[in-house]
Amino acid sequence: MLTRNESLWKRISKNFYIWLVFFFLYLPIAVVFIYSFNTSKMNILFEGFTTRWYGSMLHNQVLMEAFQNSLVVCFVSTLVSTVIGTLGAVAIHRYKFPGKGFLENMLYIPVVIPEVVLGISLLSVYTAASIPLSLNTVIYAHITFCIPFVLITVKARLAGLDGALEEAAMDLGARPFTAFYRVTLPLLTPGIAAGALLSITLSLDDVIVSFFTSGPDSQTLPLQIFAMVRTGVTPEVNALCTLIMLVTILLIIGNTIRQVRHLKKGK
Amino acid sequence: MLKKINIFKWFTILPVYLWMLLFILIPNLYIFAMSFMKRGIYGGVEWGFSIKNYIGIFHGMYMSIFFQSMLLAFETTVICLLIAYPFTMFIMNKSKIFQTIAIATVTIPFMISSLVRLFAWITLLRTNGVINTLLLHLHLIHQPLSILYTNGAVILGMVYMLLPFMILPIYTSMEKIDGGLIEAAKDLGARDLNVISNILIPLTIPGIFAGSILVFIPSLGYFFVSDMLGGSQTILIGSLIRDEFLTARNWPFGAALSIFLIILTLVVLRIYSKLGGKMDDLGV
Amino acid sequence: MNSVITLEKVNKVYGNHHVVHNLSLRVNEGEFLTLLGPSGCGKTTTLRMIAGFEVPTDGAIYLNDQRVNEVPPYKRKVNTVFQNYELFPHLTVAANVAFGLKMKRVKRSEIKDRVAKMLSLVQLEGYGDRKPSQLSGGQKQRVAIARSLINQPKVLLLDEPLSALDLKLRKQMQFELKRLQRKLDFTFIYVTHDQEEAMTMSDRVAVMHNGNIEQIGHPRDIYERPQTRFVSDFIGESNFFSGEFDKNVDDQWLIRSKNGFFTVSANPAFETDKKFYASVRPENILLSEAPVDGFSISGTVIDNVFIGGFTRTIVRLEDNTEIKKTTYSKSGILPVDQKVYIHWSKEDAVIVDTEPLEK
Repeated sequence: MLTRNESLWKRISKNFYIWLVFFFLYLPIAVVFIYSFNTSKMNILFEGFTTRWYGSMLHNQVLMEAFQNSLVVCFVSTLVSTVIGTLGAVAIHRYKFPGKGFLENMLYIPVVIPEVVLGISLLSVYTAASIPLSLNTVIYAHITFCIPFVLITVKARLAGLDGALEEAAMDLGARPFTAFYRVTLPLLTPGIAAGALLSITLSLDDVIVSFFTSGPDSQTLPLQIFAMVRTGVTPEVNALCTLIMLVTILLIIGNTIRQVRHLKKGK
Repeated sequence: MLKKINIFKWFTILPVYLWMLLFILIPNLYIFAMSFMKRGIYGGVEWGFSIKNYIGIFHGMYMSIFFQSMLLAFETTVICLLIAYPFTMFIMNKSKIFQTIAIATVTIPFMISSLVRLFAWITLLRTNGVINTLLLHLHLIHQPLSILYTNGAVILGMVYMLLPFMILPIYTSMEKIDGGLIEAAKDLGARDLNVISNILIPLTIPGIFAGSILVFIPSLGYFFVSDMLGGSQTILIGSLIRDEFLTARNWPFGAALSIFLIILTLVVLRIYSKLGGKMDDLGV
Repeated sequence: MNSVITLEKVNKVYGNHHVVHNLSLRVNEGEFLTLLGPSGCGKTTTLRMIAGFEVPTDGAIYLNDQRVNEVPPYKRKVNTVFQNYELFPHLTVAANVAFGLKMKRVKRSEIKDRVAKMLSLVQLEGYGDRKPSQLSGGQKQRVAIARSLINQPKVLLLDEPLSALDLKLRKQMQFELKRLQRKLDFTFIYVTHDQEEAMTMSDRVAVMHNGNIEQIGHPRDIYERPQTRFVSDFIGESNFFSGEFDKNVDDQWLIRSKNGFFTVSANPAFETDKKFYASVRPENILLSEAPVDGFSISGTVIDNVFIGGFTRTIVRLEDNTEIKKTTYSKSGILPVDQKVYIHWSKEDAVIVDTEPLEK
């Protein structure tokens, strides 16, 4: 949609708008970054520059423990939801089975229903079954809302693949699982990667569901930060989040480069 | 199609099916059942059928909270749309590479702790925060603006959190439009505004709908935004439910509120489907 | 000759759609057999049942005297060359070709050897490291063939493998496929809707229509002795003449039709109290300015079209039926508007259908 006859004024104002939106989105992130160097621990006004929080945060046991919890939850739930979600995508894409429509509806619930409901429903069931709240209960909850997102992402990619390729593999002697493993799965990798990335993001940042399904010993990082909001978010938190942000940005840049390269190849 | 050996087929179906049954169906059925029960003395659940909870919902106070929450969600959705649509339109004029980078740029904030970003807004918006300090310094205002702890701040926070969810579906929708259509319209004499209203908007309705759903529904439940940025008057449906569960310990009532919220969501989704929306578009 | 594949009264039904109808077939070892027919005749479905991708609703399929109805494709010693090649895009040419061997857990050194041999057999030496996306249509086709042949299948199934190629390349590939089949002495079952292709390459052709085989035999037989109206019309071109038996004349029958009398060879296989349909190929039609003994069909020349190496003459009969004649020489073309009489040599008319007489 490249229109070359646009007046200069129009083009300037359009660009200005685009950058304004970017500015809006990144302003708080800049604040997070800058305030991670704040000498004032209260972190309300910026007083001076220091990098000591990047070191001291490692000694903040409460913070580090919460961070570790988040990582564990994220890792396990991404792993499990990616496997179950990928297999589920194959199931729905390919097969007819009793209750398929019902399953598809169930999968949409975590996506569209407000997270509060997901949280309290799980909390209620955990309580009724006398399951104590722990990191495990958080993990189960995270897997539950990650699966649909992985499944939808992989299913979209699956739709673009040629179904006859697996037939060709079987014709050449591959059993169904081998055909899937050697032909479909390699071709599905971009979709699975995208789904996993989505899952990591959702899990790492989850507040509401974790809020209801975690116990006092299993606070995740967002919950810890949430608790700190009343007293003030210290620069240590800013430092930790800045680091997480950098890693996330690197991952996304990596993925974007892959996408851009793919586009360039297509030309 | 090929008839495959059952083992593999069920290997793919069972994990997801069983997990959903266990963690979605059963819990939701349970809270549905619980919504008809009574509150136990010590805050637990007492068995016994009663629709008192549902009657209680229609009490003035709760209804006004529901309406306020929906109004807030609606305003958030509209503002997101007004910001996102031109943004997407403008980046469509640029190269594919720019578009890909732009979308990635928009998506990155979503991956950084939302709480910390929201707290940054507190830093920016408070009476002695960055924005007020700057405006005072530039003599644009004489007294600090109290933006924080108002409904406005909550809307700002929610727009900030949910903007990517509006941009992505609209972008997906716009991407699918054949550029040749725009040129054909212009060839026939359509001015920019005509092109937008007669071609662009009708063809991107699926994206607009999907984005609206993805913004509206979460806005009803994002209690941490209203907790952090809102005043005591700003109560979302989500905050209500949280309070009933953790403060008032009236779980059956909380369950009834949740069911009510679910029904609300289903009604909105039904309207979405009826107007032509597809469920798959919601899996951004 | 051994029958390497036998189909016995095979039926395939999808919902209300009866795609393959009581089909029986014996495929001889080492032969090049083609299933020929228009789209929808059931030829691809039949092939897929032999491969194992579809299960017959009814009937039996035997591979080397073993019943294989429900045996999955990966257990059959049969390989398929697909219409769209179905090369694995993420694997190199060599890895594609080696796939079947890898499934059988053949030793890596042996695989390397056999792949190299196979690639040179299909004239793709040195292409081993390329990816399918880097190949042309013809090259992809050869990789698909190599990938199947390397497994030394009892039978190779080919599902319209050349339909995506341009004419010249197609002709070239037809020749190569035939050469390969002869050299390796495998059994090929080929599916196509292109009759020229079928006639050129096959040892036997099975003409299919509405889910069944109407006629099977050597290409020449099919062409010169079609047994049904469909076959005579589908293969090459036909002029149809119909009428009732009038009388015997030596070893010929005189037939009375709406347009006049004509003669066919007496055929003891048929009862004479029927309405007969005879087919005469355009190249066998003879035109004369005066009537010939045993024939009284006349018409007017309405067009002479020169097409490359031959002339197509169209004659319109009294009842507006159009008869096509093909002449390969430049002489003897009768002018337009000329009244002509139609006749032929007695062995050139084939009875392809009969109907009971209307009483």
